[in-house]
Amino acid sequence: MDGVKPDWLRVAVPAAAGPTVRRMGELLRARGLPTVCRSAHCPNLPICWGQGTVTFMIGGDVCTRACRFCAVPHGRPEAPDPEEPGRLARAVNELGLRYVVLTSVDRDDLPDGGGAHYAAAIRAVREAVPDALVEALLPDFGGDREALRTVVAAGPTVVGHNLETVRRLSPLVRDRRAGYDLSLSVLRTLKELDPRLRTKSSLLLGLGETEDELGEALADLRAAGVDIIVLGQYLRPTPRQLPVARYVPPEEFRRWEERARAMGFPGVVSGPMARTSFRAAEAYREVVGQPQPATLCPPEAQACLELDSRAPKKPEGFLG
Amino acid sequence: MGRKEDVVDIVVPELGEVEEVKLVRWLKAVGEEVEAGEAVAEVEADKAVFVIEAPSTGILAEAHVSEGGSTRPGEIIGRVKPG
Repeated sequence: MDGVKPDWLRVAVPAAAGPTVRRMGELLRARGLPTVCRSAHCPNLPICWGQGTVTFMIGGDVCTRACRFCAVPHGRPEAPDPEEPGRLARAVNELGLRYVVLTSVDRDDLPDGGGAHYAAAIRAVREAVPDALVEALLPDFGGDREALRTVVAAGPTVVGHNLETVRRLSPLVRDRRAGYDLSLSVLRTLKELDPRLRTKSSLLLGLGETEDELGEALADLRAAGVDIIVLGQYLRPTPRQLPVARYVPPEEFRRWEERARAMGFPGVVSGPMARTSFRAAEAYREVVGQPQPATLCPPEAQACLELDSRAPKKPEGFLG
Repeated sequence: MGRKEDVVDIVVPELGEVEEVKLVRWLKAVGEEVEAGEAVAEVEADKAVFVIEAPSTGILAEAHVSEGGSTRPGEIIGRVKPG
């Protein structure tokens, strides 16, 4: 199915963003901070980095799980670097970020699944930049309630955990240690631990799911109290991952957006190029009813100021 | 910037861990006028097709990679002579 890509998977890369993207890459490499943008071969990278937006990947760059949709290297990771939270906080400061999105690899090798390290990273950012909001996209920690409690206690504003796909396809698409019911239970637990938390989850479309199955997954996520739902096209990062079963047209993403809103999700991001961390600040503001700023980047972000004065473009298909 | 002061490089953008992309097609021919921000070429990675814009208004002076050929993020695929 991968074959020729449909028109809606064309990403316009503004030439003016090039130098900013290069500087961002150099800074992150110099600070030794992996990003999911790079590791996942995210097609939004040149747009997001060009606007000074980045999603950090903490806990190292080797995952203990081998999900079949994901290009992040898997294997036996080294112990988490205790200096990483400090480096992360300094980079957040340098980049002038006020909405910080963190994600991490799975750390099944650690007794707490990496919960304490994740919490340390959130605390470091909040101490260094007290007015920054932190969105934490979490692994399932094997369902360990204490690990989830540790992360929640560190004070993230939004916590996410991805269901990724429908029930039937979960064993095919995700690592055997992940699970549809486990993920729903993680999302329910997060809300129980702090009902004020905004929770978020994502589903990849185009893996072979049916309309009924997708409707069921959305209903299950809503029943688990999820506030923000992200629906995006599955894109094969390299020939080693699962092939795309279907390219879902933008009109269908729009219909799913309407349906998700009708189901009661306060925040919906739906479109072929939507990803969990994509337009994360906007999705949060939508949920809490804050007005959106005129540009995607915080005015204080140096990386943004160095761009030319054109308003950031929203490429076709970015939002349903 | 280009190797000479009077040309501006067209560079494949950084695309994360992506090491190689295919130049799908040139949207302008050498010698044709281009405007800054106008689409000049398309390159394809596994996940998407990236449309590369002209960095400057002028003439597409050089095209270094042919259609169907491979290139890499950071590589100069052509040059625009401003005018």
